[in-house]
Amino acid sequence: MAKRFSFIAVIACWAILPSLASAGPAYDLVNVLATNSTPVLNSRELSKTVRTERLQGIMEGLVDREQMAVSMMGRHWRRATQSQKSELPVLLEAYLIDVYVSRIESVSGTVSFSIQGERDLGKRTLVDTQVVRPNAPNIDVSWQIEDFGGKPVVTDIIIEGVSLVVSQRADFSSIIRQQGGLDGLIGLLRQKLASN
Amino acid sequence: MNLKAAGRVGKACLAALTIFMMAGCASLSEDQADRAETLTVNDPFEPANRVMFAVNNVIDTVLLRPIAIAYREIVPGPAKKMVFNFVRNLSLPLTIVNDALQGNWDRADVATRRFVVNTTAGIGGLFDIATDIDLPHHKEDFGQTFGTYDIVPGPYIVLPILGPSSARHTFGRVMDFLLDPVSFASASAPFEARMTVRGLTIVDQRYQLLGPLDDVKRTSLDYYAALRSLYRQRRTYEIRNQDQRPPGGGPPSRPAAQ
Repeated sequence: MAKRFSFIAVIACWAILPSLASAGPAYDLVNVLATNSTPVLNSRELSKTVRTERLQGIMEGLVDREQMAVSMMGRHWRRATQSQKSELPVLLEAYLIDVYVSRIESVSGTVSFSIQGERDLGKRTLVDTQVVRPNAPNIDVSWQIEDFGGKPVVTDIIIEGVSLVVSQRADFSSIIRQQGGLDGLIGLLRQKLASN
Repeated sequence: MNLKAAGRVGKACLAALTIFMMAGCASLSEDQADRAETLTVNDPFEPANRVMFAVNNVIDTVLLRPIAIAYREIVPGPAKKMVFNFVRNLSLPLTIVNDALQGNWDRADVATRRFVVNTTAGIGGLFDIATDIDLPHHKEDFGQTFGTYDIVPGPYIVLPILGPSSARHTFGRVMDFLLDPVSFASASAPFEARMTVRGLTIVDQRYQLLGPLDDVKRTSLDYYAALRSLYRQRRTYEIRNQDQRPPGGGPPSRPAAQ
């Protein structure tokens, strides 16, 4: 479990990507994400705020914010009010970026990143990649890409068998149950973001 | 342990396992989505588990984590690496047994050669020579073997000190304890030596988890639920021998297209 469990590489895995022959829209999407994120993630001079803003800009249009929110909320999404449905995707994106940017602050050294292959799952495509770190075991990272209206977007990231969506859904679902509804989760997310 | 006593332990474990497996069927909601979530989470003992989780957390905060931090700060890097290699090497005989029980002869062969190389050329496992000659490490246990036999994991359980587990994994741990070849081989070793190895194993494992656990604790909204989900997913990944598949299923990984 140990270090492989670490999500430190979640954002770092977008780092250096070797040039690859394009194999389809899913491949291209991962390639674009990696290429654009590399300078942001490798630059140690950037402040956390600047890094977060730049990553948000890169993710805009490449990651389906609303679809991720729907997946992470699971059955609770159906019961959400219109205002909750507008606020949650924005809050969730900010929360996830904040969490993972904090984690890469402690990463030292350069990581390399290679695409291992892609799998067609019908409605979804999984792009398998590997993060190679200096003096540490490689990390398997798979990107789940789905097509929405002809546009491929990232809908999940699976690191060493751990799905980002499944993990967050478990965490959020437990909070919703304890707090008695989505408002409790929204309040807690706001609080967490304000405290970081 | 004589055969009669072992039989009694086995029967008690099976009875406990049956109760655990059945517990999840009780008190399901009428709502289909609620039902589905309850079955996926499969944590019918959640209130008791949360109490045990809190107790473990206290033990960890006041004892295990400070020891792991002291170990990180005081022990030089090369020495820590040797302890890590030594502890991993000792896990290989059990891995070989379970590779064989899973009918995975290629992996059993790799683990056996790895054990021989590191135990001899690697001076009792202190140095990892095997990785450099393309004999990578992997770990198998009885819980994983039961998983490959399609035995369901059963409800989630938080064990004292050991932490996240399932009914299947718990039963597997008992089998690991009873049938680990290293335990048989070291039965005649002095008590102090066995306890030193046990202590080193615990300290090394907690040290390896320092960063990841701190991360999860700091960033999750509900630490208990986050760890439960991570445990379940990681265990499935280990049973599939690190074959990464998406939630909801999909084909196994395949090599990159040339």
